Amino acid sequence: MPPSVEIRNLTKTFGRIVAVRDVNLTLDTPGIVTILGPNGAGKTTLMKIMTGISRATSGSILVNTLPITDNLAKVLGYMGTLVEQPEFYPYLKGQEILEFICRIRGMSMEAARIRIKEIGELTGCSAYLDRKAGGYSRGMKQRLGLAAALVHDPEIIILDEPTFGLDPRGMFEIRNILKELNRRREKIILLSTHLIQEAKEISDRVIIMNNGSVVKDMRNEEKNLLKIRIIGGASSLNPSVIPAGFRVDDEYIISESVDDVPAILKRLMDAGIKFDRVQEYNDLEEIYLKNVNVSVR
Amino acid sequence: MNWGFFRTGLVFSHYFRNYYRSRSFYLMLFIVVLVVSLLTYLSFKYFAYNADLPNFLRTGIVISGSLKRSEFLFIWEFAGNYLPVFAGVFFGSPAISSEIESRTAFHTFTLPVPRFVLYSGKFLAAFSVSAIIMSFFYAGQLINYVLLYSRLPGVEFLQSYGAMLFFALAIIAITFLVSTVFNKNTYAYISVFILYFLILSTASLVITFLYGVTPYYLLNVASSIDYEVYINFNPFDFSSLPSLSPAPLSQIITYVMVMVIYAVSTFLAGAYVFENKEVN
Repeated sequence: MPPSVEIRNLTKTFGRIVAVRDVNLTLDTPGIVTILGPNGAGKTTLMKIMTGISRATSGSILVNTLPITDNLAKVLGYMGTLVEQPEFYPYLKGQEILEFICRIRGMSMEAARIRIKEIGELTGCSAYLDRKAGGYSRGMKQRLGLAAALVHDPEIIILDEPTFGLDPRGMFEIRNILKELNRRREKIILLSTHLIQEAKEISDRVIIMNNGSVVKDMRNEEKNLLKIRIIGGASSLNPSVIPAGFRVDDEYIISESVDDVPAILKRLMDAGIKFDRVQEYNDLEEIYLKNVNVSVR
Repeated sequence: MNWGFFRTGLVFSHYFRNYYRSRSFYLMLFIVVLVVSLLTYLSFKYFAYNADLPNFLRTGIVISGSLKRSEFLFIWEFAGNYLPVFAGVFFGSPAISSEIESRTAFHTFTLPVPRFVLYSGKFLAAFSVSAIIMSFFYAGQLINYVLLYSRLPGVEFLQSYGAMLFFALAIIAITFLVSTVFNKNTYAYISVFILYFLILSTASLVITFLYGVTPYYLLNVASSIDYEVYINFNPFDFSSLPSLSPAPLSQIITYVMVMVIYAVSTFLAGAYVFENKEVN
């Protein structure tokens, strides 16, 4: 049975502040699902509730059809999690931390060591697993946190801003790890980010949250468009000459399709429209801005 | 082996390793070495060479050889009586609050084990390192005793050691409970100190003076059994006349039961709070 997560009417309040507002989501298809939203949108709170760190004020979550409130320990057995910036006990070595996680999840010591070697190489933390975690840098902790989330090969992976605190190379490597994990499409990988580029690059599905609510849920809808700059500005064009399948946006007209660029451009030329630049772009930024009332970082 | 016990054991060894490598452990060990050194100095100055000493009970009676040995053990234990409190504060007070403050909770709380297992495992680890620290103190006491008197102490020594372990159990359970309530270590540290050294001490003083009874049900009074097993005298108890005899068995059992009740009730209360603890 493929993994599944079902969130029903989930609300979390802190006094009068509503952190998560009536969220309904179904994650039943393996792949990378990204929750995108500004700081304070409710992404982390939602993940904390999903992992039992925090409790919902109302609503429910079912993981593989089990309600988490009644089966938390069992449900956490299906999951690998990295919530907020990870911290570890300072006097324990990375190896000991990972061994403990494997052992507590029922692996033998021998199997644990083999798996830790693999995951250490995958996440790039094997070089310092023999050192105490108290001396790790932010990036090293982040990689160890990712290793801790993946070491038992979970079917549901929940990662809260997994590239936070990493340098560009580190971010690139983590994204590649996630793509590699998603290659066989066997796991649900739910991650949060406020980086549009990150969401765009790796996601099969993007959920935009703002002020605690899900404002947009897109399954490959935000795909690429073709942006064509019209000489003299697209807004000056007579609407009657614009062919079907195009829309006007300031100085550009936008094709909803990128499937056959020469054919698209020929249609414009046939309509007597002159242009000087053609570029492909992803409209996620546009959708994000439309739904979230903040500037894009 | 039962899977629940096995996982508690895993949690215990995980935390035990972190505890014994911590600065707190070595600081606590240093304190014990310091106390043992001071008491060793006292032992060899007071008990070994000075035969006509001022009588520490000020009763004016001649102190016999066996009473002198009891006095030795009493003074050591009286001085070491607060060590479990400090061990509790060092290892118990930050036990849960530090999980929140240093954010390890985000990793720990998502492990697929019941919170009770995590709580129990960590509690046992804190108790074990405290017991090890206390054992150093008792070892120092034993070595001094053997060197001075060329004999092993009586069964009271084991009673005192056992009572101290129950006291450590109770005080660590209390510190764990306090730690579950707070999200900052400082509050947990201060609260335990205030609770033990101010509130309990004041309460026992008030009860003693106003009602003329020994409030044996207060932990600070019950904990005095670890030196009263030698001489049944509590310098903070103004309600009864001092006795030079060891505390009777019935008193030992009563005081130990009080400590057990504190340990069990606060452990369960702490586990309940921890079960419902959120990190927001």
